[in-house]
Amino acid sequence: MTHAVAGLSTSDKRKAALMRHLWRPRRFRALLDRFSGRAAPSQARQAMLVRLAAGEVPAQISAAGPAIGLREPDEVAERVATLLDDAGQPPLPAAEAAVLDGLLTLRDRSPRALAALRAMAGDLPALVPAIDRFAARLDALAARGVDVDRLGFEAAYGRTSLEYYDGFVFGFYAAARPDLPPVATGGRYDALTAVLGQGRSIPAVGGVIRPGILAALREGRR
Amino acid sequence: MSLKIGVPSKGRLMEKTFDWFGARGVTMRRTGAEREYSGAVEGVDGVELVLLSAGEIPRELAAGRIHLGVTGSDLVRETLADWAFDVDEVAALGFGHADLVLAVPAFWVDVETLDDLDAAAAAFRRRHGFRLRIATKYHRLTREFLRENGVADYQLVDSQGATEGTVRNLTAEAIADITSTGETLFANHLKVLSDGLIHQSQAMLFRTRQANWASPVGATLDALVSRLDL
Repeated sequence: MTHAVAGLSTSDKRKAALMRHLWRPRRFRALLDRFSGRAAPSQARQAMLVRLAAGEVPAQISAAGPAIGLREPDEVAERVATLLDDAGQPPLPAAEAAVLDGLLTLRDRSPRALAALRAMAGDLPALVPAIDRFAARLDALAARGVDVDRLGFEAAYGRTSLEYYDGFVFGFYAAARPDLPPVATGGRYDALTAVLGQGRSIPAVGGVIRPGILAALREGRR
Repeated sequence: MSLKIGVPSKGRLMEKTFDWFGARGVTMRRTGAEREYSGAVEGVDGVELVLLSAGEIPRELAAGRIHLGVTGSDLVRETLADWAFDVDEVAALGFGHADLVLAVPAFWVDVETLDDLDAAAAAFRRRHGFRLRIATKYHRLTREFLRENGVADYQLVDSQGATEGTVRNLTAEAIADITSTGETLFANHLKVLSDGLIHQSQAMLFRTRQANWASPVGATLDALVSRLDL
């Protein structure tokens, strides 16, 4: 997902906005719809843009009320400039928006998912490095005896629950108990160490095994 | 055992509640000395009036210590983690209307929607190094609303009163508060976001799901409900 967003042909500000909401599906979808021109902005939004474009911004700010609070008038003016600039941006190409839609819903056995991803990369070449890593990972798993042909893959896996993971993520499920939450989940969280390290970073991988579920499964087997 | 009904112990909410029941043939009144919190119910046998602070009625309902209670829907949703599990709404009483809304300084000409608030919060955090502060006493309702709408980079700060003044006093950048006419917001140079309505509150009659409803209490409830024409 991060490679897909980074590879879109749109402004850096729009990419940053999408990246920031990667973990909030509803807002991500709203942004995607707005940036691709699929959804018209709300009436209040539209009226605001017309008003802001019509007159001097500093005059509008001071006419609207006294400057109270820590957020200063120049911060308001700065965001007005960002808004007007964004309103003038061309819409995100429909083919690229379609790739993001496809990624959000891609859920298949790994070999078929890999083929689907390769097809998507035609419209969004920035995906290629991530797809190559996925293919290499499947090869490595197969070399260790994992039956990757039956291994499930979801491009948006854990998108609402594994917030600080930012690369490969995984979950283990009890085949006999699909009603239970995953027994174990985890993945890469390199971005977290980069933020905490304030410039320095180390590769990070981790996970959690849920002892309660493990115990329940053992009980069930007895 | 009698059916206990919790009613706000003072003010307009109490008077309006008494009026609402009175208009339906159930008379409620305070008894004893002027400052004594005791009351009586006439019109249906076996009903006991419990005078309580409106803010405590949700908790008493959830604990099953009262069977019915009149209070604001905002207080029930705010106080009880899973309100629909603890109580049922029996009737909307048609008074005590108030809206819980999100408001920001009027001079923020760049912020009209939640979408804008979210973007402004991200920019604010970059500039100031901390999350944009929203003052409220309705923590649960506000947090759930903002989470549902995908707003990030904010923090809630507690304000138990005069919340409209927190922005001017530099203790918050935005507020979530109850308003009925919007006049106090306007006087404090704040404006409501176009999609910033968190909850439309009104006084309601609630029924606990946590008490024993076996007769005679159950039978008393049936008699009360038919008397009230609900």
